[in-house]
Parts: sequence; C-alpha cells; structure tokens
Amino acid sequence: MRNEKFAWIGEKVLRKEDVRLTSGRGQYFADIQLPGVLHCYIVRSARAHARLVSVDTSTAKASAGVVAVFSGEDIKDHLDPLPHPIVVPNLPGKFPRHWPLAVGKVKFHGEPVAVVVATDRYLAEDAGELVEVVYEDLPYVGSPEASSRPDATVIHDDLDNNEIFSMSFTGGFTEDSVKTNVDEIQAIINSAPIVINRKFKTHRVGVTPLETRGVMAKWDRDDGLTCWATTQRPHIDRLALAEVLKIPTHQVRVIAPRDQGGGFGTKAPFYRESILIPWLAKTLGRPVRWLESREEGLMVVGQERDQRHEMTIAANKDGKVLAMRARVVADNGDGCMGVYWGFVMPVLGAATLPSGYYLPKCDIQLRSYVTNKPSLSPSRSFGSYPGRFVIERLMDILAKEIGKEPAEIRRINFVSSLPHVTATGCHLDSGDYLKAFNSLVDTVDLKGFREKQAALRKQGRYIGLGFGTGVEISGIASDVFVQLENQPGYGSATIRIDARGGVQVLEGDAPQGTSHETTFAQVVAENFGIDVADVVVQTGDTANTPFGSGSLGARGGSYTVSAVHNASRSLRDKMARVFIHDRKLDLHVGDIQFERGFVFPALDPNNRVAFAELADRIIMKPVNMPPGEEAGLEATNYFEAAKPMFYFGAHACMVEVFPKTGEFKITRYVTCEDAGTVINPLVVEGQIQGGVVQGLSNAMFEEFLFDEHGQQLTTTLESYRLAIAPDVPHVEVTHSFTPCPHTPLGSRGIGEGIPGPVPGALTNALCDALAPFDIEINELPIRSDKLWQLLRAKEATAFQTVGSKQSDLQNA
Amino acid sequence: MTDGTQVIRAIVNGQAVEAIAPIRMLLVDFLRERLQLTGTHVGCTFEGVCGACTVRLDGEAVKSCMLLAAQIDGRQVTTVEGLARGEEPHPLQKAFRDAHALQCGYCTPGILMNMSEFLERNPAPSESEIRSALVGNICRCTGYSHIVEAVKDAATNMKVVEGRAA
Amino acid sequence: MFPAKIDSLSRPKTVAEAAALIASDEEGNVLPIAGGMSLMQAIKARVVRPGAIVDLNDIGELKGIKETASSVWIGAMTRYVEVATSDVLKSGAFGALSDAASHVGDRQVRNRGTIGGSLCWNYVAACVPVATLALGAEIELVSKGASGGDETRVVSIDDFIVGPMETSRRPQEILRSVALTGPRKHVGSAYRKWGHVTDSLPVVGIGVRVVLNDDRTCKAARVAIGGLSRGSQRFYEAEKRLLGTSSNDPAAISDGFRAAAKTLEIQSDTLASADYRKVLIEELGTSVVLSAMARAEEAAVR
Repeated sequence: MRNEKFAWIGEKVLRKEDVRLTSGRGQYFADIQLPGVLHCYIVRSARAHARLVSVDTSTAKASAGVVAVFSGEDIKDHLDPLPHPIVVPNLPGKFPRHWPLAVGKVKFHGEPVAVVVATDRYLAEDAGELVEVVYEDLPYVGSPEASSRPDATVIHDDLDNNEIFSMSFTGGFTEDSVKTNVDEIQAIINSAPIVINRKFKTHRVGVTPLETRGVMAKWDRDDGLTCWATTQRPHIDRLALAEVLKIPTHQVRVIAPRDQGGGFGTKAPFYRESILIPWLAKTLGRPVRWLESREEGLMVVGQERDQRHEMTIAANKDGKVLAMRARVVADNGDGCMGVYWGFVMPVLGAATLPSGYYLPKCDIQLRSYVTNKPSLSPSRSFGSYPGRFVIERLMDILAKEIGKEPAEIRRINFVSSLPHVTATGCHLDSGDYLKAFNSLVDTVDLKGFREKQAALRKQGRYIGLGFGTGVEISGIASDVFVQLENQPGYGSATIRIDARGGVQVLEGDAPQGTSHETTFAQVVAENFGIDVADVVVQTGDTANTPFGSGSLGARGGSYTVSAVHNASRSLRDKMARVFIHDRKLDLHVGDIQFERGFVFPALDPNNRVAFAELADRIIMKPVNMPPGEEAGLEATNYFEAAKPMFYFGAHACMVEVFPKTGEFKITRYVTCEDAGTVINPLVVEGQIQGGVVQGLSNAMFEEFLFDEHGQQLTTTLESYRLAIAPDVPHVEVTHSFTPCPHTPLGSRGIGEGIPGPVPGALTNALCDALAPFDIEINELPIRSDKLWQLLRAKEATAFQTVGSKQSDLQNA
Repeated sequence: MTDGTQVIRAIVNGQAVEAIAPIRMLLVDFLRERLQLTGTHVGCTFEGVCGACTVRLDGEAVKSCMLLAAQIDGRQVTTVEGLARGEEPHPLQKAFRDAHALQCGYCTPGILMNMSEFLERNPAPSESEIRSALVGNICRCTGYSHIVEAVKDAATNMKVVEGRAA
Repeated sequence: MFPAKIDSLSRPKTVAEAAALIASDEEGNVLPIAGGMSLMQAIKARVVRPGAIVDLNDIGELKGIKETASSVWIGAMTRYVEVATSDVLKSGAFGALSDAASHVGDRQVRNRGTIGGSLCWNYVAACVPVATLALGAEIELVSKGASGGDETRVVSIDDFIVGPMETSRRPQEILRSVALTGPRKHVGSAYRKWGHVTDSLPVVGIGVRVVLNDDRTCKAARVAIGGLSRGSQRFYEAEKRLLGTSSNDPAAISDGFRAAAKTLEIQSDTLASADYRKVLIEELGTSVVLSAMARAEEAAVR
C-alpha cells in the first residue's frame, strides 16, 4: 500500500481539520474572544436612493452601554475615502469615492449610515434603533436600461454619468483597431450561411457562505493594529489598511481565523466594514468587534452575475463557428467596493467568454452601469457564470439550427490544439478538452439516452440531456493579476522544519474549507518521506507568513501548492546534500531517498539516518557543514507559472420535465474534470459536488429581488432560498487526466469555476426534453412557473394572460 | 431601564451549569458566550432556517437560535461538544471524517446534532429519508452527497453499538 | 436580530395559572409563547416586543392526543411531530392533519412547533390552519373569568379563522385544544402543498375532506386553501363541484378545480404568477382529492 512508503499524493487522506471540526473545536471568527472588546451595530439605509438630510445620533449615544456612535459626517474628515491605489485595478473604469459610512447621500437599501459601539451586541442594536435618519428621496435607478438613459439621475456625485466601465475585449487597444475588428466581424456575419442572434439574461445571484463576515480590531500605541477578519486575503487587507489608515505596514497585522465557514469570493473584497472597524479601534483606543448578521449579508454581499448578453454567432454549414459578437451589459450596483468595484467580475466574464471554443474572430464589448443596488461582489465562478450559460446555450441553438447533436457541435468547435490564445488574449495553457468531453459523453451513453428518449416521448414523457462546459481559471498569473487587481499572482509558502523533525508550512492565503491543511501536508510529507501527521499547516496570519494575494481563483491547487512543493523540495535537496557530505558519498541529491521517516541512498538503504536526526544535525549541530551551506532548515518559495493556466470541465445533466406544470426533476448529473494531478481525490470530489450544487442553487432557487422603490425583498433565508438536500441530485464525478506542464506536480487548481457549466447543462437538458415543443430557455433563473408559461405560449393561442405582470417586482 | 434577567440552572453536556442571563438572550448566544461552547454556530438572523444552531433539548433536535436561554432552566441540553463519549467519537463523527462530509465545517455541528436524533428514531433510513431529514440544515460546501453517505454509514455502525443516548 | 428587552418570563404549570398571568396584563404587553417557531422570528425581528412572556411549554394538560368515541382531542401544545406520527390521526378521516404536520418546516421545527401555535399565528401560507379548516374542528378557548374560575368557549374552526394572521381568539384567551369530530366511516382527508423547495412555506396548500356514498361518489366535501392573500380560507366553489365526483373520473375533479379557481382572488407575486397558482390549484386539488377519496375508500372497507 502506498501509505506504507509515505507516498501521500493521490491518496484519500482523511482531513486533518476534521477531528476538531466534528468535535465543535473549530476556531471561527465569532469564536475568538478579546477581553474588553466592544460590539458594533451598523445602522443601514432604509432607502435605495436619497440625500441624507440629517443623521441624529444624540439619543442613541445616551442609550445604555453605548460608548460611541458615528455617522458619515463624523468620520469623513478623519479618514481617507476609497479609492486608494492598493484596492484599485489597472482597468479603464471609474472608482466612486466613498467612505465606510454614507456621506451626503445613500445609494442602496442597506448602505451603512451610522455605527453604534457598545458593550454588548443586544444593547448596540437597542441604540441603533434610536439613530434618527431623515432622507430626501431621489429617483430610484434600478436597471442598466434606466441607468444608461441620457436623462437618468446620476448616482455618484463625483462622476458625470452612470457608466462605470466600458471596454472592448477584442481588436486591440486603439479606437481604430477596435473599429477595424468590429467591421471585420460584421463582414463575416454578413457572409455566413448561418447566423444566430439571441438575447440572454442572468439574474442577480451569488454564492453566500454559511458563515457571515466579521471584523475585530485592537490598537496599541506601540504594537500598532491587529485585525482579525473573515478574509480570503489577509496580506492584501494588511496593505490596504496600512494605506488607508496611514499606519506603517509593519505595524499592521491581519489574522484570518484558523477556520472560516466558506468564502466563495464574498470574503475577498475590501469592504466598508473592513476599514470602519479598525478605524474605530484606533480612534477609540479600545478593541472593537463587528459580526455581520445574515440580513446584512444578504443586503450587501454575494450579489453577482446580473448580466445581459446580446449575442450573434456566425457559422458555416457544418456548424463551425466563424465569428462571435457579444454586447454585454452588467448591472453594477453602486460599485463602492474596494478591489472589485462591481465590474471586475464582468470583466473576467467578458475576457473568458469564448471559453474552451476555438473562436479567433470575436467582437466582445462590456459596459457596466451604476444602479441603486449593492455593488456586484465576487462569487464563485467569478464573473463567468453568465457567459458560460450564454455560450453553452448558443452551442445547442446552433446544433438545432444545423440539425446535429449538441455534442457534435461542441466537438467541432472545441480548441483542439493547446496552448491557444483566445481572441480576448486569454492564454489557454494545456489540457485535452476533446478527451475530457468524449469521456463524459461515453459515461452518459448518449446513444442509449437518445433511444430511451424516443421511446418515452411516444408515451408522452419528456426526458432530456444537456451539456455544459467551461474553461476556468486555475490560479491567476501575475501577468493578468497585476493588470486586473494591481496584485501579484504568485503562490508562496514558507516551510520550516524543527529540530525534532516536525514540519510547519506557513501560507499567507487563508482557506475557507478548501482543505489546504491536508493537501499541503500531503505534498510536504511525501517530499520528506514523513507522516502527514507530522506536518502542520498554518495560514492567514500576516505576522508569520509570506505575502500571498489570497485564496481565490483556484490558486490553492495551482500556485500555492506549487510553492509549497518547491520550498519543501529545496529543503529536501539541502538535507540530501548534507547527508551526502556527512557520509562522504559520491552521489547526487537525486540518488537520495526520503521514505518512512528515514533518509538513505536508494541503492544502499541500510546506510540511513532518521529524518528527525538529520534535521537536528542541520539546525542544532551545524559543524562540519558542506562548504557554502548554511545552517537551518527554512525556505520560502514564490511560484509563478510560465503562463496563466486554465482547467477544463464538462458537465452533463439529465432531466425529466412535466409539461403540465412546468415542473422538472434532475435525474442524473455527471461531471468530467481535468484537474491534472489530483493530490487528494476526496477533496477534489467534494469541491466538484459542492460547486455543482451551488450552480444549481443559483439557477433554480436563489434570486436577489428589489421592488419598484429599490427595497430589497430577499433579506432572509426564507426569501433567498438556498438549495437543500432533497432538492439536488447526487453529483457523479469523473476525471480525465492530462498533467499540467506548468506546475511542478502537474496539478491544476480547481474549485473556482465549477458552477460555471451548470446553468448551460441544466437549461440545455430542459430544452432538449422539450424539443418537441420548440422551447428556448435563454434567461435565468429557471422556475417551473416560467417553464410553464413558455410551454403555454407555444401551445394555446386561446391562452389568456392575467392582467398583472410577473415582472412588476423586477427592475423597471 | 433594567434588563430582566434570570438564573438558569440546566444540565449541559452532562454537566450542571448555573448562570445568569438576560431573559431576551437567545439560547445559542448563551451556549456560545456564557458557557464558551462555541461549537454551535449561527448562520441566519431571525428566520431560523439554516440549522447551524441545532442542539438537542431533552433529547430533541431543536434550533437554539429560536429559543430563549431562560427556557432551558431545569432542562438538559446536548451540544456537539457533548456528542462523543470521552475519547470515543460518536459513529456520526467518525463517519463524517471518513466520508469527507465536511469542508468548511460551519454547518457540521448542527447536522451532527440533528442526525444523531434522526438516526435514533430512524435506524435504517433510505437516502431519500436522509435528504428529507436534512431540510433544516443548509450546507454550502459539500453539495450534500458525502453527508448523505456519512449518515448512511453511521446508521450501519450505530446498529452495532447498543444503548446510545443523546 | 436580537429581541428587544423582555422583563419577565414565567413558566406556569397549569392552564389556570397561565390564564391568570395573561389576565393580569392590562397593557397588552404579555405574550404567551408555544413552540415559538413563528413567534420567535417576530420577536427577534422586533416586530413584536413582549414585556413579559408566558411560556406554555410546561403545561402538561395542554399536551396529548386522546381518542374518544366521538372525537379526537388534541391539546394545543402537542408538537407537530406527535401529530405527524400519531396512529390515531393517520387514519383516513384525519389524514389531512397528519399530512400537514409531517411537512411543516423541517424536523427541528416539528420537534418544537405546536398545533395550537400554528392555529393562533394563522400565517397566510401555513399548513395546519388549512388542514384543520378542511377537517372541520372545534377550537376550545379558555380564559380567566371575572369570577376567578376558567371561562371556556368553543368556536368552530370556520369562525376561528378570520383572516391572515387574524383569529377570533381574544387577547386574554389561550387556545386549549382542537377537537376533530364527525364520523369516520367513508371519510377521508388529505393535504398537500406546493413550494419552491421541499417543505418550504407553501405557494399554495390545499386540504380536502370527503365523505363518500356507498357507491364511492362524493357525498360531502370540505375544501380549504392557503397561500392566497386572504390566507387560509374555505374553497366553497370547489366543494360544490366535488359533489357526485368519484376517483373513477379524475378529469371531472380537475375540471371542477379549474372552474372553481376562477372565482378566487389570486395574487401574482415574487413566488408565482396568478395564472400559475391556478395551475397549481388544479393539480394539487385533484391530487389531494384523489388521496382523500382513497383514504375514505379504505375507511369504508375497514
């Protein structure tokens, strides 16, 4: 058995996190206690768009247990607003000025207006109710359509209009070159035998973790600021806090708690609260804590997607796409969110719109408009969920037009030769998309399915099969990341061996259930030939970890683990060198084996030393060292892949639809992912199953809704419905393996993009089931109500609609 | 204005506890803050939907965010910290570890407490019964498949172990 | 998020004690709490701010399910789970209540929430009020009388349900019991709901009780519907159209519901359009009637 040799990579190692997490010994943000800490309650705007006539905090200040109450007016002269360079991307967008508390006006229902600081949370809420806010309503701007009108009310006083971002992703960087490209694409469309025009809409939805946000800070005159936060990016937060609060960086320490209850992107931005709480701690000279309520979270965090796509594809008679034109519009929300500003997600979505298809001729433009809603904030499948839905639907629509199987159309159009640079400049580095897709098609037995489908149709039953695929980012290279977010993409880790042979891995990124504690330990333990139990992974404390840009974009399995591997390899090589020197062997480091806690030449296993003893020798007894070799066993590695990397996944969904009511059931869901070398199959399977269910939850159950005044209607988990166990299928996970040539282990990071292919797979399955009725589903979310309406619209000309519009409560 | 308080005497995880708490204090906050039992988690505001706060009150799985601490006076409560018997993990805890039925772990204590009661009442559940029993527990990370497997495995093992109580 | 200040919590052991505590409240500040599955939401959201809470959970005489010759008596503090697993109630005649209680919320809610609490809260989409309305029941209300003893009055469920979140319970009254009366032979009932996720608060819920003739045609019917803006209500038009139908002809039953639905005031909202609710009413209604009829037929055989 492999484990006898302590070869851990590829093994289903039980997670080290799980004993404590199943025993109630997790250390999440809310579990951390600080003596004397004060508690915050944030008073939030009751209006979607209004001038703040006054914010009267006097009664609140006199309430029991209250230490202080601040409004925007109170803080604005004592605190820099954003934007600050560290949280601004190098993109041609606008960055509306904002403080952590509203100054002058409020721009969405839920925007922080005041903060109460009190001795306990219950008392803080009591006082919060006593803050009196007088609003002067302004027109609610609730959609990109409304926002982009020439006569629209401009939401940000420091901007000329509501267009916060506009860019072409194809045709180079000058107006002329872009126009040339636009014309070229138009010409291809004009002369193509097959042209398909469609509009698509993806609703406002995201991925909300079960643990809400929290920030706690203490300020000490000599030691500076210590800040605990539910964050995916402690090092970035540290820089941002230092910059905004004007504290020397070395006097700022950010700690992500050892355990976090999920992030999925929502814990990546530099939020208003990220600044406010540390500022309060510094100003009051007392430790301060804020723990988000679910209601606050649903009003501010995890609202993503919300894009409209106007698409044209031109194809030849065989179904090969010749050109694609996309006009993408995003509903940005107020955009006041550090790092992302609402539009960075749509930017990545537009940049990766071609996905894994060979589409060298593209004309892709994105515009994002400010509205009176919370800013779009990152969610898993960062920006690309709508685009994947769109392109997967287009492939099926094209297949129908041509009269071929959707699977065949995909085969014809996948990128078949890698590496490949897309029309938008994305570098698809490696993999074999056809192989993975074909493996999936085999697994689901397409032919057998079609036979069954035909037979059941004769019985008046409607089953369908749909595919969805996607290339998803596997980490983010500095080339891309510096531009996108002004941040580096390298993975980094420090490995520290102690004199007793124990190993510490120090990682600056902060995981939230992403199993770094186990998978990194597996890699290190295999390199040193020791037990996984002897490797401890510590994360997320800026005081003792190297700089890392954070846990996002599947960096863990691509970049960070590579740094972990490289650092441990360099230490292994050093130990081998010392061993060779000590034993006076005429060998190279490659001839030395590390196995089962011992170090020995491969060809002479008896000539061995215990790993722990060798470590002790190098750290504690560094005499007669090899010339030029230092004592100590600590190494830090910064890993940068030669090129940006992507992984590929293909999903298949099978459904049965009941046309009488538009209800449907998912009968089977299968994925085929190419994750490269899999370090822990259990972990990868779990990630994929979880990501698929999040994708289904987004498509079928969740939706952020606003009424005609901009009031948020989905601020509880009763109204914002998350997928529960009886309503989702078991997800079957299969793999297609190609090693990644750019990482030392051949691994790819997975996790980020898994929800992406889901809506395409599901809607294609539904349309396939309802093919006899010629139904197209080009809008999300999917509801049986909407499906039923589509069916009725096709069937009965005598159908009479009721007077009231279903869209009453959607954006105008 | 004084806040109404109450002395609460209860048995929590087999131990007698006594503490004073405001009447309005929620049971989940009492457990976490007064008794330092932070294994029970909070995942929603007032709606009581997510199930992360599930504990067992006189043996029954209930949501501790929907109870006032004062209501447990004279009663018995078990939290996830009281699930194991000393060093011996509950079959559910073992099954969850073996099946990778948790990722971030935030929903896990609530699920363990709910399922421990469920399996006592339903020793041989089908997959569909398990999924229905999980309606009151939201998980975001796992997609539920591994959780269902773990509960099935635990059910098998629990048949072997006699006389397990809350 | 957190409740407003609560000054006191009392846990009476008897109904008389509880009634006295509530009677002593002159300012309307005293709130009885049953399972709390709905009330605690309101208290935490500060929509409701009780100064004093009377916790009914220790009152033994309010719990239990007892079968007599002529009725089934259910104490108001009987938990959903007990109603759901009661052999007495699983019988054909009372299946609707068992169906409803089995699918409220989730199992944690069912361990704690009560029949009495659900009826008094009478949420617009709640399951138990609809099922009880379909069955026909007698609601027993008790308060502390002027002379000091208990004053009891019984109202029919039809008179008890007034409107969404509104019942004819007077502020000082405690709901003591629900009595299900009436013959059981040839009687069957059922309840089902439709929601966006399993066991969620329904978009539409329908409860039906049928009495069958010897030839299995419908002799009498009670139909109740929940989830419309008027809240739990009797669906008289559907009842009329069920007379004479039988399980041999489901199409006639569907036709009946389709026609009857036109007479209802049905809203479009974020949950569903009015047109779709009509589809649900037809589908759900038919399915529930067929279940009720099957149970009635079983009851006839026994």
